[in-house]
Amino acid sequence: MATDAMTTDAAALARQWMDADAPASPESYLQAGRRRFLRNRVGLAALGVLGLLVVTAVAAPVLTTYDPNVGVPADRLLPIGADGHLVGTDEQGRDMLTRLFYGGRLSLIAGLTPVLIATVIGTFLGSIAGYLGGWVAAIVMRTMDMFYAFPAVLLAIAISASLGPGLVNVIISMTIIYIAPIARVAEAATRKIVTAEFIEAARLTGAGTPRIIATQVLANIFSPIFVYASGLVGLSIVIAASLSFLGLGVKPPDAEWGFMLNSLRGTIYVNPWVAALPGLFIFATSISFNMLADALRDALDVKD
Amino acid sequence: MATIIGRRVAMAIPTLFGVSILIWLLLSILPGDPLAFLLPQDATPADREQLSADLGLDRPLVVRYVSWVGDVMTGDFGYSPFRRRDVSELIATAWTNTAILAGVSAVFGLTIGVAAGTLAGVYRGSLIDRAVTGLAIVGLSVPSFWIGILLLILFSAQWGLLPAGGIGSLEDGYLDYAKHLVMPVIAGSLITIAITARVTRASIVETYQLEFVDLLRAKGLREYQVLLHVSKNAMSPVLTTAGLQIGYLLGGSVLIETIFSWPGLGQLVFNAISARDLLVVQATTLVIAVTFVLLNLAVDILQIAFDPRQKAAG
Amino acid sequence: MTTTALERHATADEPGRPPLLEVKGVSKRFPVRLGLMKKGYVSAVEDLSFTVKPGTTFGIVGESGCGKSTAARLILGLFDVDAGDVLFEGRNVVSARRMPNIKEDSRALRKHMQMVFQDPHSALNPRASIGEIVSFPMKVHGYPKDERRERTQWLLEQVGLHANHASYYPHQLSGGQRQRVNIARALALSPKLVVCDEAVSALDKSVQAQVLNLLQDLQAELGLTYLFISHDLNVVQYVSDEVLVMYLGQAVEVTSAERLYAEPLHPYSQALLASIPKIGLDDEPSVEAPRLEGELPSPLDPPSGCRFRTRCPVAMDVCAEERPPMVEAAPEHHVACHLYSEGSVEPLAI
Repeated sequence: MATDAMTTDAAALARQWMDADAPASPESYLQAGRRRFLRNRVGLAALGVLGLLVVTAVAAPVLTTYDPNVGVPADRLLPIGADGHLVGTDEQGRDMLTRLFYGGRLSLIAGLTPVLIATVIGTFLGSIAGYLGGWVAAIVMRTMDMFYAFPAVLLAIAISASLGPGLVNVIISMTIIYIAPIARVAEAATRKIVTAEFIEAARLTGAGTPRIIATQVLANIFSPIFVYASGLVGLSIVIAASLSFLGLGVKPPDAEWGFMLNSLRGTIYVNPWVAALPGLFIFATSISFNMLADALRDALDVKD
Repeated sequence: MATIIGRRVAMAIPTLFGVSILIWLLLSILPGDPLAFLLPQDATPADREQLSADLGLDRPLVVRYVSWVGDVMTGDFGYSPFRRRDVSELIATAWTNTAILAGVSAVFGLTIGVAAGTLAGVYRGSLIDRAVTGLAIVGLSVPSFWIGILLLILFSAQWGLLPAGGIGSLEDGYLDYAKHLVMPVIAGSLITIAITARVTRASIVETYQLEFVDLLRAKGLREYQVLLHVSKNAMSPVLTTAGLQIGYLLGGSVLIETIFSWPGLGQLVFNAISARDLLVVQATTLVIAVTFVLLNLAVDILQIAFDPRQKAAG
Repeated sequence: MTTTALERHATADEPGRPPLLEVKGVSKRFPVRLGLMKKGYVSAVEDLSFTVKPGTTFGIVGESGCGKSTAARLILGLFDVDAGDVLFEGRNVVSARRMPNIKEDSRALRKHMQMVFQDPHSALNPRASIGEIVSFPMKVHGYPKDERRERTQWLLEQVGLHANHASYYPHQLSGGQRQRVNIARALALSPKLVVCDEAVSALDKSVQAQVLNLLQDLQAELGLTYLFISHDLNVVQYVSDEVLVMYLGQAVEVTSAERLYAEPLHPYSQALLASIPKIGLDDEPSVEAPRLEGELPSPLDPPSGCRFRTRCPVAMDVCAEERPPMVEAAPEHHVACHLYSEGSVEPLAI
């Protein structure tokens, strides 16, 4: 090229001033998100409440000496503040606080697990559909659309009913209803970035589709999916409790908040406020997850 | 516009078809023995085969599906051995009752939600706004069946103001009928109120930032007149979520109707589940889903008809 | 005539040095939906042929929407071609025909063909650090970890960045710096051919010059061959040895940068040249330069015959009927216009 001599000088010059200042490790995307989250008081408070609920559920055997499943018939339906029973007893004379602690285990598992599994499956389906487009997307997404023709809770009830009662079946049925919306979010987010030049650059390296999805796509669709899924957890806790409330979840004598609420339903004329307690725990968990989700959305700065 | 509506209607047909397949599959090939509850304890394998043949369960899946859809189209949902009634008969009464409860809840929920959301949006940043926004997140998080129980504790158990459950009879007067509706409507519409309030607030806030608002003010319109224009323009997203609300109301009806012994589709499903009466579960789920699809279709058509942008696009 | 003038030109030139890249009759149409049932096609690239000699810079210039970016992606195998072949060092890397082994061959060969992308925002994965971005191609090709780290550092320094920039994220860099990362990534696999698709268009003028100089510098140091695509004739002329002028998916003129600048033959080339401010004083255009008028016709329904005729100031009847063949009007100067015939730069009497 004619201008070789000149360009070398110019490039060298350019290098000189570009080198001048490059601090070693600037803040990454997730670090920035964490910093913003730690400034959000509502979010931290919600995290605190959830932490407490998890601790009481996990450490229940340490925190109380009562058996969650065996009661003392003579101590049936004691009111809140009764001697030895801080928040009373249930219709079988079992300590309420003990059962509320133990109940958190199944309630949290039943609420969280479906969201986790559905997030994995939905992200998988949605990112593949969004990346490949064409007939693959058409088949996957039209199938997902079918699930939108049902009121979600009703579908979960119908699936649970046909699978038969049980915690695992509740988890399966709820997983099924969450896959469609998560796949939609993942597909939309993937479609948004699939035409980006960095995807073409990755294809030029000779990397295959699974590798491109894993290394280039997933990190970029993570935050909308994460924000959506975390917003789903609050609802999921309520739906899981609803299914148990309807008798589709745990079998007696296991403790689970929704189920406890149902079995105490008949006692509201005798011992009303104890009967309302499991609902309070469901509500506290659900609202904490919702507030946490809002805080995470703000921290990750995702615009809907 | 007519073509858009036509296309939207045409799109509903494969959806309904898919819904029917899904429900049928769910309750036909999933594990669980449909005969177990129908057979007497001492049934022999021969009895079992006989019953299976009587019910047509020995035919191939596709044949069974086609024959089921054919029956359903003519309104024949089969016979419930548990309730000793035709399923269609059970569903007809229950559907009306659910329609009444869900309809009143929808009107109530949307009205309160739009009013609260508008207030919050107009007085953005005020105490009202913060209260509405805060209560909305409570409404989104609170289990409706728990609110139902709290209402029962207060209004029925403690104060004896309202009947604990059941449906009133119009013969006892409108007041009695209304009294039976109060608690189920409040408990059932909470989530509708919350979502509607949120969406309305966001939409109002967004619309106020549009240029035409300055123009209206510059023309000397009073603030309430401006609000009228703003709310007219802000209603489209609210209407969009209205379809979703119907889903929550119909899905939630199972819980609400169970708690308040309201003899609707929800209670029918709940009882059928408890009795493992799968035929009724299948039929009721289908009816609710079809109702949901058709109502969503109606909402979409309304929206196309009212939204000037959609009109232009057609 | 069985071979086009261009193909003869390519094989006749320097028999000792085969061309690095040969593009032969490449075409591409994209289906588009026109209505509920109607389907149409956008003709993006039509019968495009050219050859690129090793160590040189081949420029493609044309208005935006003329198909030059599509052409780049066809050559690199990012889109499938409808017709034609692309040969890299004499071996088929892209073909419309089904050929055994082309997949394995092209995967190995395509390592040597990389691209510098246009948009400094969308070209870099926003969730990956600069180090990850530059080393990704090496990871795909199984370079050991130590070598990847070392080479990434070397590459960053080569493009005028600091090794510390490896831990940065794209949004923490300026547009010019991002474009340098873009270049570093393209060089990661030591390619022979680098396609620069509007590589400096999104940058400020001053930064443009820096990046162009860097590209030239790297070419000299690493013996690279560039396919340089831009809508900016000034930029193309500055960096290119040979230039191809493209209009609505078709090549209209191919010649050396000097000749195109001095004596553009095609009315479209003349119009393009006339539309840029010239620096010389007595630099009279050899032909009365027409101005471009009217809009670019829709590629959905391109004009018959010569696609430029609807905007051509000297269009004739024949232009609507026949597509002008590419002729070598002067040595090393090819043009597709009914005004010229083989070996004649004098426009035909109108």
